[in-house]
Amino acid sequence: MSGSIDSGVKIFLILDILFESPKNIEEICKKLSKQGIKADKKTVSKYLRTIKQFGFQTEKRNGKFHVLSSPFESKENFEGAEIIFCIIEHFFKNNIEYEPFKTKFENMFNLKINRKTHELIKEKFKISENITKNIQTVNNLIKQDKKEVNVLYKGKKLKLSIKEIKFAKNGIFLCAKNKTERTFSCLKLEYIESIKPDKTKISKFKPENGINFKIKNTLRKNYILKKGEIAHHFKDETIITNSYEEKEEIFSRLLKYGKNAEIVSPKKERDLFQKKVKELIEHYNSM
Amino acid sequence: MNEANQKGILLTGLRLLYILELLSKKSASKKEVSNYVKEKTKIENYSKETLKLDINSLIKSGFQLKRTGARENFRYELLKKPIFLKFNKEETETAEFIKNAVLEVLDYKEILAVRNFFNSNKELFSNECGIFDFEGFNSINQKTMDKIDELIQKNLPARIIYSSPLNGRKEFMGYIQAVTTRNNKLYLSLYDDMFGNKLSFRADKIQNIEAASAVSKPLKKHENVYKYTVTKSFFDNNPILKSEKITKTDDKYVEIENYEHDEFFVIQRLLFIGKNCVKIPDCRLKEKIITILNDTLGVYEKCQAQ
Repeated sequence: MSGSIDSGVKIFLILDILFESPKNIEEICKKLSKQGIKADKKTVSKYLRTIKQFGFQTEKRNGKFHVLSSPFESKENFEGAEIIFCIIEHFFKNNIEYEPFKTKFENMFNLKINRKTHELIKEKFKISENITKNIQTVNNLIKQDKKEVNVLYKGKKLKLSIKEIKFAKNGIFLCAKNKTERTFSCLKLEYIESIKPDKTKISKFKPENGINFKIKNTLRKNYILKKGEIAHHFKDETIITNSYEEKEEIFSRLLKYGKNAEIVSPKKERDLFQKKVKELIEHYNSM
Repeated sequence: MNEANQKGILLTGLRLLYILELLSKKSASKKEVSNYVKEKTKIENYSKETLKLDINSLIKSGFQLKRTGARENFRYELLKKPIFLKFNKEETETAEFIKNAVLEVLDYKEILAVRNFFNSNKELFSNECGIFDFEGFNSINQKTMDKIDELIQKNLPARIIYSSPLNGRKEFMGYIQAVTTRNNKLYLSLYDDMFGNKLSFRADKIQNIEAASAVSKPLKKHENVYKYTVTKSFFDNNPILKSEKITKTDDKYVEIENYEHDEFFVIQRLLFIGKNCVKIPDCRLKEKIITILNDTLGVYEKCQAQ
């Protein structure tokens, strides 16, 4: 009797294990044994055949089993699903690693892809093979927490600390702290020739000095602290200490705040910002 | 009970799956379950005791099953439909990546369609990622957006009840000029006769919107286009905004038209572009920027004088 109950629990456990991530038979056995359930490879194979016999679509890829469809799921219509599927097809067109994901998506949702959606996605996202390759590399590095990288960009070698990938109408950008030029940079993925993890020991990158700036009036009420900022509140003013962003990033923001923000210290950065504002005024006057 | 071995499959497991399949479509009596399993698995004998064991196995596996009473003829009922097919962690991360692309590039209708899709299918994704975070679009009411669309299409004036974070609940009336996305938030531009001005509202702070009675003055629709030229290197190394459109480009410069409805945000943009902006045909706009910069400089020079 107990054997029968165990069999029932096992089949659903194996389904859970496979949906968590694709696995080979050995990995499935290990996972089951961690939960106190004994099953040898032969038995697990039988369970996999049973799952397939019932009607789950399974596929073996690189030695691992994927479950791509379920007879229990009734496909539903979602306009958003079509948009996502078109983007997956467009971004990862020739990439077989994403085939199981695409197949699953098609099996789960009633996709009525019309040409208009395809055209819209193609128009909004200009993708090349190099861009797709770089997207995958950057995402893998972010997942492995290897954000310090060496990049070859338009023939130039750069050391970067990756922040994120940003999408825009004029391209797809890798946004990062540029350790070589000590600025914040957005580099177009199509021009990146190679990205590799930086194996040097200096892994953490900090700006030379923090900057303290005062915020006043309506900005004081509306200000939202950015990453790495601390606020010190006084009676009539608030001082923000930013020790995370590079000074060029902070300067760009402070320009937008106008007279509602003022750099307090260090004096060097205050003088530099003042000089920058003067230069901008001259620049606009000469336009 | 030993595992029956038919063609290398496990009959117990197969029986459970078929019982689950039947009950996920409708409730069933013992007899109906038994007949269904026999038909699907091609077995001749399926005892009551075995059926009972199978039902217990399903319960042990976490499925919520209940047996109704005499009035309902002792039927088995599945309380929650099973969901097997889900996206694993890697697939969810890919979906999140695509969500970010949608948020940053596509128009608000497409963003809301994708948001609604994720919100309706939360149980299918691993919840370790920020896949459900659509930032300024999170709290937007779909009915509000449908009403806004209707008012725009029919060119009717709107009455808006707005919840301002600073000034509380307020009412506004006017014609909707545009719906714009900025920094992953959605804004409504309204031309209000009383204020004689364009007002900008966060769509997720709109409490209510409906058609207003006719406004006395005839209103003109304001179409603002702000033009400026930036360096090619700025264009190549910075994402452009959704409201910006490229009109001309050569080796050194890129001419841009910005269809932003609120001049404040255009000025912010130009301040960010800084020296990389090489031409602004609108002198009035240029003067405003110079004034802001002079006011900023004044703060530093005043301190120096002191």
